[in-house]
Amino acid sequence: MIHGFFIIMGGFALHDADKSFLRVLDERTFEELDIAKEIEWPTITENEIQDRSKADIFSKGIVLLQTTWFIIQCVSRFTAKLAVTELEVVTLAFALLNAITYWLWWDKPSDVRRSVPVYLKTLGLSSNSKVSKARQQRDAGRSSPSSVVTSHKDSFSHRRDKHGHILAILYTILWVPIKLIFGPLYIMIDQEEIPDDDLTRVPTFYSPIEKKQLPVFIPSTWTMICVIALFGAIHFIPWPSPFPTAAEKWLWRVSTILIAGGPLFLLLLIAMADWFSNPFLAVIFQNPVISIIFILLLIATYIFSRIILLVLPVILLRSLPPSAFLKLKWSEFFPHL
Amino acid sequence: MLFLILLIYFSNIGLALPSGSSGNSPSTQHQLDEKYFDDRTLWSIVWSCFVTLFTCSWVAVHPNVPSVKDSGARILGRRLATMGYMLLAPELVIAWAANQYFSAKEIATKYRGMKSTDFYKVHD
Repeated sequence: MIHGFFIIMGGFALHDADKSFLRVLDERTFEELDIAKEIEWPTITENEIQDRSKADIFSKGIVLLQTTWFIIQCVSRFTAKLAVTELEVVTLAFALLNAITYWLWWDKPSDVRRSVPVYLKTLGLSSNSKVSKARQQRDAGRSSPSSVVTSHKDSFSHRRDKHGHILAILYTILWVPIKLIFGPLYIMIDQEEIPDDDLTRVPTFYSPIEKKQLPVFIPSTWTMICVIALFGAIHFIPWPSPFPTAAEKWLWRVSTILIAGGPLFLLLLIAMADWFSNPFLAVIFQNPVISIIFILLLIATYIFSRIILLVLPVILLRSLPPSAFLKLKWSEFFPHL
Repeated sequence: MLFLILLIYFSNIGLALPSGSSGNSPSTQHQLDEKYFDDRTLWSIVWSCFVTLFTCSWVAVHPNVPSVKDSGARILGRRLATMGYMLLAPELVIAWAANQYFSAKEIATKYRGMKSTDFYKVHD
């Protein structure tokens, strides 16, 4: 399992037989080269990989203490009928999601800085095109190390020449930041190949998933759906608590219902279309226009609700109920201290 | 375990304390407040939330192996960016982590079958 993570995170780097760096090894290339018997199989053991992991017990302990303390405070406030602010509820929800992430990455080595070399057996010609390509790139870098090949297509002057001033400026100030922020989000749920212009590492949000399958059959889709429902469910906690205005109260409630119930609704739809082969639903899902509109609507609603649940807790801080400013006197509850 | 004990302990306190508008006169209510409660500020609420969020995501994020060329600042920047996404779109970060998890599992089972007992130890 640790080895599996280590391949995925770009922990193995292909080196030539003369020990010069070639490229990072993804799982597929690794397998191809292993079958062709062109690489020395790495001898690193699980313990050795673990040794490279830089997660110290000290910081983990502090985080565990802080989070446990935070949860205890929230629960004690709840049971002592003191107001728990919406911000605290949202923090709880995020802490839970962080815990899930932490659990999924349990076997993934943390903060590894150097990859482990995997050597080719000979300097001779390789049957694998990726090897020869990487060798070409290495040789090009050696002969002229100063000339960094920048992708000309992304430069501002290139855009100006192609589209004119106004479009180029608009593109630069609008599209580029959007791409920069939202691009990674798309990559996280989609497969990404290791780009040819930087073979020295795997991309930041890299994960190899089989693209042949429909998203419905990928287990991570199900993980995500459950997580979203759970995340929404936590936001039910301040349901009975007072809100400063009715509008804010209903914004919160509706967003919570949408996020907690949305995934369940989706599951129900899929199940109904699948199991009962409902002709009405089948027509809807087979019509590309309707299904695209449906999906866009779903995503838009979801994003909107998420923004509300992220912004509202901060706005609500302006007028908190008086008991939100009280905290339990712990010394009173532990008389023996 | 400690958590459960505390939970039970405080549920009792909750019952013992007056629940807001249960007919207590303001003065006794105030005395109770004095006895059992301290004040906290808005700043302390925000701060405790922030610290919890930041430390949790710091520990939860496990970045991929960087390039040999990358500087320390870039590696740190990448980690902070991932933490930012953890706040902005935690479900997508989880989808990514789940992808890696299931892929790692698949690779592990695949090679365990191929390479006799241990994954990497026995191979000549």
